[in-house]
Amino acid sequence: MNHTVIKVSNVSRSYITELGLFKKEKKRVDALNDVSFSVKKGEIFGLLGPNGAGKTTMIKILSTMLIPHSGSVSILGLDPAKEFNLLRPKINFILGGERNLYWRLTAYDNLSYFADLYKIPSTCKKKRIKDLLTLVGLEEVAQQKVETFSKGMKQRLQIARGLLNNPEILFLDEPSIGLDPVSARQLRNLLRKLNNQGTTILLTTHYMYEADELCDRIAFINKGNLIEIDTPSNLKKKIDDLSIIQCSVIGASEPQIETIKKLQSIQHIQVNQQDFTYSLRIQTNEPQLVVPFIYDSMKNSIITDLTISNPTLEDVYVKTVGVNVS
Amino acid sequence: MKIAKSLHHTMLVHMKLSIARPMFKYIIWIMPLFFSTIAIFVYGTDSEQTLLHYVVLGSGFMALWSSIVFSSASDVNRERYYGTLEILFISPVPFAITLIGKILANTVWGLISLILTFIYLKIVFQIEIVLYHPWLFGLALLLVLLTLSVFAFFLALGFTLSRQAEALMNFIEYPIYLVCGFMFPITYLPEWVQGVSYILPPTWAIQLLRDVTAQNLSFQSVVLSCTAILLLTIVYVIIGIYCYRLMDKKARISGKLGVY
Amino acid sequence: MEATGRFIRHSFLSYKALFGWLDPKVYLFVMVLSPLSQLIFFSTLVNYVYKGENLSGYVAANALLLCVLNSVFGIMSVITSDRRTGTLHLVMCTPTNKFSLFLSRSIAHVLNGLFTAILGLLFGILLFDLSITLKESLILLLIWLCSIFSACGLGLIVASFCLWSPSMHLWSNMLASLLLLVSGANYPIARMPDWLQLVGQFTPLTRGVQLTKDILNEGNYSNVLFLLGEELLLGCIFFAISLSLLKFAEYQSRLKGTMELD
Repeated sequence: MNHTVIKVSNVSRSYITELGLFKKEKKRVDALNDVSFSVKKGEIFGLLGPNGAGKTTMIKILSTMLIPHSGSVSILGLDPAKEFNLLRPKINFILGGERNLYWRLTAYDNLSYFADLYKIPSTCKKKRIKDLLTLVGLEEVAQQKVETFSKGMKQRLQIARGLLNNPEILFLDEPSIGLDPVSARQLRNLLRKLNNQGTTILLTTHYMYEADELCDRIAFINKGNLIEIDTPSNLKKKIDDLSIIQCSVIGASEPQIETIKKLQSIQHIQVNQQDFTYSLRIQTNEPQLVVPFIYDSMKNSIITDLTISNPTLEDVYVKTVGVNVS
Repeated sequence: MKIAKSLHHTMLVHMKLSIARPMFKYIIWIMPLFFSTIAIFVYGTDSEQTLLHYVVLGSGFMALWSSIVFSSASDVNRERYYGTLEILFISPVPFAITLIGKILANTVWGLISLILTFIYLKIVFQIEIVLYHPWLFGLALLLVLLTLSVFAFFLALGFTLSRQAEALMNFIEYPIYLVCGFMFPITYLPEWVQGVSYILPPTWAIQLLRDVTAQNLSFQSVVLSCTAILLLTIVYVIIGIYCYRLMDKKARISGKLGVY
Repeated sequence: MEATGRFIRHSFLSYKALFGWLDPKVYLFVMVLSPLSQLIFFSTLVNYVYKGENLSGYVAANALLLCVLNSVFGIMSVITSDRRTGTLHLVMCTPTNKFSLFLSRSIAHVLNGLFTAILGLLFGILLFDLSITLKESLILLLIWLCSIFSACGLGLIVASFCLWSPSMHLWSNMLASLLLLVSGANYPIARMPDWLQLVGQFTPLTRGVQLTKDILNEGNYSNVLFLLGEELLLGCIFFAISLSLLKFAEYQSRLKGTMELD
């Protein structure tokens, strides 16, 4: 029976910004509102939500960067707000983006620098750096400056940095942001490998398929509130009676689209417009009624790429939270 | 009429923009006070005329210089850094108007800073600031503001065009105080340096202010300074127009304006 | 032993990482031409007003003041450049002791400050045709090292505020100007009002300037040990204060979430 390694209880955290010439007005943004969840050892746990949902704030709290305004957090039995000195050697975190490295240093120097900060003993430091560079496929470029690296390479070096202290828990904030599909897939493989070796992983993302593929459990978060937590398959089961109809319509008019929107059988519709083409994505229990209706009401338009499929995690999100994640 | 309105509006906006920056506030309120205090301690109990010419006018002029020229030039750099330079350039209001508006805004602040420095020195150190020819001083001040603004325009354009020149921007503070004789007469400097001083407007500007505040006004001196200022102003206006056309070309043809 | 190795390695690597962006041209302007122009301006001013009297002392004192570039702005950059590269939070969340981390980073700036001051002195000697004996220069070196150490301590105090309060540029510039004013590098200390002299007693560089003037202008070595001791003590107090401030600042930055704000 795997025990709980992360326990978040009723955590709230807001940001206060001061407005106006004399900073008299204060605007308060609730980044996290009474959030509770727990993560078991060896799990890959995902936090999903749109930008501004509170994911980064949560990661910052868990990685000891931020103190919650209320509630409590326990990681490996330690309080990150007070016992960070004991906790920091056991965890590590990787943030998406390119900025979290020293561009003027070589890959090797970057790792050496952080290895010192994590007090890795000199007896195993060299070997560990070498092994990590091999793990992330950067052993050939170890002596090159990071500024010459591509985004994917920088991200891989970040992963290596995040593993320097053999962390029990790894926190990742939007790790695949800005990565091309190949690099993103390499990243996912690496994470799965780490997980197989026993590392607990908590990641935030707004890429649904990534969460679907990787995570054991997922939590939906929006505007600081935790909406739903479950495994991907359970979440999808909740709406497996739904069908997803997608199509492109060329030459339709606004009133025609409005008519479709008003159809009772439709649970949710997402409309994207580009030039003269509308892309529709419809959630419905009655595809047998919706499809003919589309053809009937769009007589003078061209309908292409019509598909009927099963719901994905994104559809679950849209249905549960009520907003689009992208 | 429309241009005047744009100018007025731009000026107000830039006054707010400038004063919102803590470093600008430092440059116009605090730095002149520090410098004037140091100058007072250095000059000690020298004659009233000396104190007026080199401490009062010197530190007041530093405030004007820092605010008008230095800030306007760095404003252009900042626009490039924020990526708004190109947007400004293609907006309906001519870039020249925007730049002039900025410079005017900083000129107003510079003038306020000058007055504050005078007040500080009078109250804290009890220096007698006697303007023997107040009207002449007022006129001279206007001429000084004009020439500084033109110089600021020229520098700002120069920095827009050349990134190398921009690197210089932060480091012309002390060299200018030195070469233009803010706190001591340039006749004290070696001759080859004086040659450079004479082609810089601030040298003649501060000389003019000293001339019109001298107890024994030398008409010859005043005329010489005025003429030099006017000549230099015209030269810099011409160079400024040329630079402006060059900048236009660079922006529209080679598209390099926003490259940071 | 391991800790010492890490301390030294960090000092070197962090300087390379954070200052490696300086290309030779910018380095020339920022680290050489700018301080030298400050030196020339003030030296010319005092040369003019005092008619060449006590020039060696004043030029050397101004050379010492040039270290402010490194001890205030350089030290501050120890924290702010990390923020610029996006690595501040990464560094702050490692297990390493933050005080020893910033202390090791300060070493490079103490040495850089000494280098700037020496450069200024050599330039001043050349330009103003001064003569300084070997004995004088060796003693000055020791005095300056202590003064610059002390100045860096104060710089670190200001820098620790950067962790939780944005817009520290204003305060660092004010500190730089204040040090220039109260150290008495350009005039006899007696010209300052009493209360300002008192302020100078609690700031670094004042004693260093005093000793520089005493030795070069009067050949007076009687106060060296005493004032040097005081300057060193002051420096240690500054570093001790910065230790507690860093702890407090770190806590504040985690509470307010301002670590990454500029």
